Amino acid sequence: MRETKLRWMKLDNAAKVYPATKRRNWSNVFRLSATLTENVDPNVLQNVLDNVVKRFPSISARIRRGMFWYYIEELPKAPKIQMEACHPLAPMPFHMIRKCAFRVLYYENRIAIEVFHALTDGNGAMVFLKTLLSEYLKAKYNITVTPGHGVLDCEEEPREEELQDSFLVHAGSVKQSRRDVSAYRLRGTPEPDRYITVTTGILDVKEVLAKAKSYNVSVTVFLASVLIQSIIEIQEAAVPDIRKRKPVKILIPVDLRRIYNSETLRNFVLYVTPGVNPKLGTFTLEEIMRAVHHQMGVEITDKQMRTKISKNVADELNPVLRIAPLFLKNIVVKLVYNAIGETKSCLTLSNLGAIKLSDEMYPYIKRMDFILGTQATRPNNCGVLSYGDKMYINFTRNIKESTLERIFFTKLRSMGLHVKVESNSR
Amino acid sequence: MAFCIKCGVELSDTEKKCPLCNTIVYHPDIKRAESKPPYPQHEVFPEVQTNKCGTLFILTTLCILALVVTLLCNFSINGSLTWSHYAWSSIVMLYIIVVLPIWFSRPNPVIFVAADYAALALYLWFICYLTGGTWFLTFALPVVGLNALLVITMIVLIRNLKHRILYILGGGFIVGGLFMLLTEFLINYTFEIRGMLRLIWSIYPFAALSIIGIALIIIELNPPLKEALRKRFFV
Repeated sequence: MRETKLRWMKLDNAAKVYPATKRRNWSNVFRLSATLTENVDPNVLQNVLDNVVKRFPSISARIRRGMFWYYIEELPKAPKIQMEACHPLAPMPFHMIRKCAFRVLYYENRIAIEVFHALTDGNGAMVFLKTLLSEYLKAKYNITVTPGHGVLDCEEEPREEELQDSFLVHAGSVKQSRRDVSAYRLRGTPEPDRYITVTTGILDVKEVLAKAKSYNVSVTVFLASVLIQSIIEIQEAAVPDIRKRKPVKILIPVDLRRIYNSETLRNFVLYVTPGVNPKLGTFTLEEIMRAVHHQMGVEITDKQMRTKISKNVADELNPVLRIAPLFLKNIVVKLVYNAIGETKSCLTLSNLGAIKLSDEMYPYIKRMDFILGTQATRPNNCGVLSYGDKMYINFTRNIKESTLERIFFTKLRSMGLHVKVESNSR
Repeated sequence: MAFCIKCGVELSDTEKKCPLCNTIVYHPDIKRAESKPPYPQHEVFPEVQTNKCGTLFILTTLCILALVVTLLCNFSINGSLTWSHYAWSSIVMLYIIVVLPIWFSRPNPVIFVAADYAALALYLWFICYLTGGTWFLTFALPVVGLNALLVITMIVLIRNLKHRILYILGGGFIVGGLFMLLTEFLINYTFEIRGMLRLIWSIYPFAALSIIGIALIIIELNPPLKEALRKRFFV
């Protein structure tokens, strides 16, 4: 028998910042989608969603206000699926998050989920989407799907490990300061109606892997380095005086599940911000790659990451902060976030890597996408994943100018990589 | 299959122009397939408006509560309404100045400032009436009226001529100085303090305000000076 009482849980350590930093027309939302071979059947999707949400009490949830903290509360039933009517990642204001902090959308042959980041991170949401897809395919095409590769069995009860705040489990005693230099800020003409433009570059995975291998770096380092070189070019045009140029850094999320063998479906991700300082002179692509590769190598170890976790957890457990009423916490968190939160990097490059599904699912799914929402004050972001033999690089922006995307994809093209582009630009 | 002639990237069938450089896709020999756009494009998510109903309800209730308590106290203690006239009229004026603009989504400052001055004039008339004074017509009304005229003119000019703000402020300061002279004249006339044209204290604010006003106009007339001052005094 399932519990009839609704579960509630504290926000995990990383999630605590998201509800506090929301604005009237901005909140931290990301999107995952899968494109099927046939058009989506909304009735089947709604039926299977009702079943799937029970397996994910920490994702199929809403965010409520407590006296001292926000908390997550399981939804009593699945939300209504919606047909996509506007651009991806439409705002999710708090009155919506309070009722349901994620949405399931369909458009033609695509199923998408848009999730408020306080519920989970990209990898947690990917498990939800894969399970939803497997249940949809089972119901629609009457096939059997073997659980595995992130597809969960909806007949099982949610496990405690999936609902755990792994930050608390893996915190140590040595803390690392968050102090860091500010990065160059990309700017542009804001879209007056806050339209989000998504520009997708579709590349051949094998070509990109071979190119990254030719430089002896990983795909993430390769893409981050090309992105850094593109931003350096933008800064050179905008700031002619080399002494006034600022460091160009990219925020790269690191999935801690792999490092600490966690199975949580809550947020369990931290960041590194590799980059170079253009004040020092002109950097070749190889130099940038070397810098990024070594900076990531030093940072992404279990011991280094633990020091960062420890710092965040220590702040959360600070007795003064804990007894402060929520509205005071919100003011403090928002002030700190506005002052330093987004200033340490130019944009986020989040790579979910190669997406694996159960073998039975491949014939029905032809494409997957990962789209990050823009940040509150930084206009661009970039989400990457590869599925099958294609890599999908999704740039989002809330400004009119497509300069960053143009320079980035043109650079890849000039390296001999075949790039196919599509967009919802107006 | 179409390629952008500028960027060299392949373009999806949905693209009428290159999303990277806006170059229009055209090939005289290839008829392009019509495809649905990857995302619905035309509808935009409506802007989220803050709901002011709660704030308005709380403020209005507080004002009504204060009003009722004042009237009840006065009546129960004195048996009739005496001092509470001053209190309720103050509460009403406060409501007009603070809460009334919240009722509107985009309050026009010209209208609301005019309404505030009208409320102030009425309030002063009421006090004058209650105290049996004779100062309203000859002192309060001209001072409030001319003040309103000056402030509203400044608001209109600043809203419409933003790049000439120093001229407007300079002019405003000089007229403000003159207004001080007029105020002392009206005080002398209404309260028969001394000879009507014997101005004593108003000379000082008039001089100070006029100097500031002239200085602002000179700064606006001299762009290098303006730039030098901007460099030294930015915050």
